[in-house]
Amino acid sequence: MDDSSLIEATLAGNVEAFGTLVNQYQHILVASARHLTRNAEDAEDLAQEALVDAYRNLRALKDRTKFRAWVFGILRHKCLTYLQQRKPEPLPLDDADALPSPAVDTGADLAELLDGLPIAYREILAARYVQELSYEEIAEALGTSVNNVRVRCCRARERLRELFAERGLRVEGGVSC
Amino acid sequence: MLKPCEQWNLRLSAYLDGEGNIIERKAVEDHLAACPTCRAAAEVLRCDAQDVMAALHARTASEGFASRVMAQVAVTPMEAPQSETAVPAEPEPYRQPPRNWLNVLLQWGLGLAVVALVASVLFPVFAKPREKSRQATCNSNLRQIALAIQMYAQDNHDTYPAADKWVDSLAPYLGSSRAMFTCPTDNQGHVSYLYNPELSGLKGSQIASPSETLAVWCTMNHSNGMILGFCDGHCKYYPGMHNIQDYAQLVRDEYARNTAIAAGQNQPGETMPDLHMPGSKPPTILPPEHNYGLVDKLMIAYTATMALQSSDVQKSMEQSELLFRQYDGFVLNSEYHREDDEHASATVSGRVPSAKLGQLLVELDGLGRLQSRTVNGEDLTASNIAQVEKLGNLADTQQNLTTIENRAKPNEALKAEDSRAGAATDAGSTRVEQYKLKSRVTLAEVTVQFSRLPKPEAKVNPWKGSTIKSFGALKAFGTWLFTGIIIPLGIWLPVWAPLTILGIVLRRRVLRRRVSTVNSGTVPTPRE
Repeated sequence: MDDSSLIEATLAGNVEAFGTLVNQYQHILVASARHLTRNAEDAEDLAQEALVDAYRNLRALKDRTKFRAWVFGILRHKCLTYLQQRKPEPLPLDDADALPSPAVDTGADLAELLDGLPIAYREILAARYVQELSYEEIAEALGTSVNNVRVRCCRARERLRELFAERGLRVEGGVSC
Repeated sequence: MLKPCEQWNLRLSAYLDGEGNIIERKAVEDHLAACPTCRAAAEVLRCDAQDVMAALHARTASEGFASRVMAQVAVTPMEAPQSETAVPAEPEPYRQPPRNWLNVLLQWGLGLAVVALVASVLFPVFAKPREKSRQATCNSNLRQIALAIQMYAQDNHDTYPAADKWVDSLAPYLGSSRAMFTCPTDNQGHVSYLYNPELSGLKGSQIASPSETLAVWCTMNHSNGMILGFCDGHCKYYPGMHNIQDYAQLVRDEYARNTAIAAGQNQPGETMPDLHMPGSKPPTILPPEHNYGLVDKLMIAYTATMALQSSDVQKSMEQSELLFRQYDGFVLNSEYHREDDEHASATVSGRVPSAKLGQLLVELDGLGRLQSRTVNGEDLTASNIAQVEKLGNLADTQQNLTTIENRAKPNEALKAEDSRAGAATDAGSTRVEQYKLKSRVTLAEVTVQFSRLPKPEAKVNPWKGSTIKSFGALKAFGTWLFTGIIIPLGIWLPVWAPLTILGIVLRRRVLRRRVSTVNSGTVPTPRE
């Protein structure tokens, strides 16, 4: 069943249908929350709050095919509010240089490396590579234009490429044509 | 580090994300087929994206996450939609952090201090060019007036305008407006320029050196200097001059120096210009009488003194200075002494055309309580206004002049010049001399002394000798409270309070907007 049918069923009173949606999206929402907040403990709480809020306000969702982007929007708001209210961390993690630099290409290390990016890149990465949203959906969720998303994606890629080159995760060299 | 071509960077990124329309995608594919570097870079970027995706997807929810969510969903009621548009869930309302009032005060204080500092630095910087421009305008006015004098002389048988109506005489040559007779520095809007009364009725041919004979000058102070206009129409700025007497001194010195040079008595170290070179112009020896600054005793037809008592000596002094200028005269000297509240005095001396003397004395009478008034040694304290007002009329002046003429020694320089001008015979010379004396405007020198009006006797202090001993201390405390607290607060609060309230309102509005943008999801990068 696709998202629209499940939402229809949920609105008709079938809570189990919403359970299917939760099962479907739980991992990507938790992964997104963790990437945005850089905190494993609170990420699940935020994802849970986002899903509960989504359920509570499900009637407000007009275009039911956009459930994924909508839930991501809710989650993003929760994460941003969480980041605003949280006390500043003793170690600034905005710059990846401040992180220890093990040049080991494991998934966990790479994820930690990605967590070191600024929030503007993190939310683009979460939307694009975790939620797998299209540029239009991202623009809607972030409240910006498609062109802006396009540019931010491109800049995030450039930042990633620099980061990988610094960490030695990719072969260096080559010339610009 | 492999980098794609700069102009393809954006399109390549969209292409790798599966975005863009078919034309864009085709263009990127064509470029990739042609450009090996971009191809390699695209491969690397694709690998990067896959790695990122894999790394981020590796984080999954814990075992009981879905059941925890469902347990909470089970106890959560579904809300009815509030509006037609799909609104995301409300985040926690933003709470403003507690305000640190000390910081707010410091910020505002610092801001005001910076503004004051910048203003104090910038005001003189901007004031200087403003004064320069006023000076230029004044210079231009004087030049126009000097030229108008020349034009008037040409139209009137080479005769210079009479000093008592010079403004009216020159006005037709300067347009209908009289604005040209007012210096831009003069806020009162009076005639700011004075005409050399020595020129009154003189013929142009009688002036030996027009470029050195003063015609008209500005009575206003321009950057601690004066602007003077000469008979040939040129104007010059003389720094360091405060009144026309300074210029008179300069002429006197120059005259003495030139005379000494001509007599071969130059001072040691003084350079001799090419004065004695064959064919060069002989040194100019300007008769001092031709310049207003050297108005000798002959021209002063009246000497008047007044003593007045005033409750505000300084104000009366300023008003009397204005009166001198209002009656086409000028102030020679004004001094103000203040020893304490009870003892203040001022002396103002100046000159006005004789015809204006009576009116000036009557006006000065209004500035305080008259103590004494003498005109040419005659005590006129008890005279009524009508008598005083008549002073300086034409017949009176003529009579005075005759007396002076009989008393004064004939001026050799003038005589010599008159004879050069055409009055060859003694009889002719005498006629010219008489004509000049009669047609000239004589001056009246007025000295006004102001002193403090004695205060009425102080009231008897009802508290004196009473049982309340602490009245003095109470009064001192009241004074301290008023001057130390209430007045500063009264000055500071009206400035500080609106600014602070404005700051708070603006900050609150900004925060509200930020919250609303966070709610609607338009904040690109919140502060962490």
